[in-house]
Amino acid sequence: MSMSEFDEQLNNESNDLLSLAALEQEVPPDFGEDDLVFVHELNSIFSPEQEELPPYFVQTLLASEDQLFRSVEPGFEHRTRARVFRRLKLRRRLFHAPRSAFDAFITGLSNIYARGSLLVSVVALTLIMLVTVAFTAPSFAAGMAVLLHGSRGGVYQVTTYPKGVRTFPHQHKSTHNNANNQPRQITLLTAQQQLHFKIYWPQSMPRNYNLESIYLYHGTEQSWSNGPIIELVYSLTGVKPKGTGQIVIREMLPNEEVLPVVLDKAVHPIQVDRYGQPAAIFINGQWQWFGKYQNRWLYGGRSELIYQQNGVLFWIAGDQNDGIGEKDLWNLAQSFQTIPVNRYTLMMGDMTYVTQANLYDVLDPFAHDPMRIFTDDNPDSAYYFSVSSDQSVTPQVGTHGH
Amino acid sequence: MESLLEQSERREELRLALATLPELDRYLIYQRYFKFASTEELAAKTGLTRHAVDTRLWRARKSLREALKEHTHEYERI
Repeated sequence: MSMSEFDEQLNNESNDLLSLAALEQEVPPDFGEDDLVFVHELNSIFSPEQEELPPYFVQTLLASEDQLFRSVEPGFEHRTRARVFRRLKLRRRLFHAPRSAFDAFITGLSNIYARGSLLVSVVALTLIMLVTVAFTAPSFAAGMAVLLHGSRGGVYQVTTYPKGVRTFPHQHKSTHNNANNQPRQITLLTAQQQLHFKIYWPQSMPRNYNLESIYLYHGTEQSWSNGPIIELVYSLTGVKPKGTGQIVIREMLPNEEVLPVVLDKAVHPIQVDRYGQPAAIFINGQWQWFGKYQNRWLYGGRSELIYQQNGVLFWIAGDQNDGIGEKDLWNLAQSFQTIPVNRYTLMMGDMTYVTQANLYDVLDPFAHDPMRIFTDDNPDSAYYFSVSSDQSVTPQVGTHGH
Repeated sequence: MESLLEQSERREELRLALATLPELDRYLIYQRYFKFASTEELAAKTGLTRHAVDTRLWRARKSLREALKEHTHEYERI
């Protein structure tokens, strides 16, 4: 160690001693020797003023003493707001006093109008909502489907007669109105062979009703029906009817959901299961046309039951004027059975012939009924359909004609 | 005589050691050894007893010294 170095070291030591002595004058009386040494060690290597690198722990410790980080005094926010409003000359209430709901509403509206961007946003949002409602409203307002238990049948409840009901085009009548398409008689065996299901026969029929005729309907465009449709017509015999005097049973195997469109209040589900699906649906009345464009639901008169068994859908129509109501049709529906054709032929003899016709030539009770058809390919493409092209004619039960 | 680099390293070591201390201990260390607060004042500010303040300070000093000692040993090994 050179002299100069020794002197320097000595000076340093003397400086340290001086600084320690000065420190002792500042420290509180409860500082012990260990405390003093520790202070000395800290000061030799560390001082808050020399802190250069983050995370600045000393500054963090100092923060509690820094005025900038102290919590504001009570009322500071109000005073600051008042000062700012005064300086900017804003006319607003500084403090919210209790107001009525109406005042709040009016103030809110005025604030909204005052803020142009907000108004534009609200208008845009409203427009989007309106467009959405316009596009989706028909599906909500159109009605509600009620499906039978385990079937693709049921009814479609509406409050008014639907618009845009599709029909078979008129040219079909002229096109198919040739000798080959004229109604013709076929045997029951032939009819059964054309059907994709076995014919169901009611075993219980109201008194004095007897089988009058059988129809087999074809329709080239009826994708909703798997194969032809069979129709059994029973008529009152020996008694003068007060109504149409007929009970008509239509049987079909639906390919898609084929739902008669009915007035919502005219529907009465029968034996509803825990899933809300009925075993049958009774319909009181039918759509009645007044002129060419107006219609309304006519209660009484026609009675109808929608029923299914083993996938076969039954539409059974009677006349309440003849005393055929829900109970009669329900009893009838519960008695359906399939019977071998040869056995039925033996039982009925000559009554085993069937009239084969095109569906769009039919004038049976169901011909003018609007239907709601839900296609399997696209559930959103449901449409209304009526077999008859002449909507203004309301046929009565039993007015079969071809 | 420590070079500036050594001093800077020791300072950084102390900073890291301080960072490992609980916040309350950091506060006590700072108030006691940088602001020279008495134990009584610290007890009043923190709500601790004087004995608790002393104990915490002793532990904090020990922890910091150990950190610095480790640094010194590492330095000597080099």
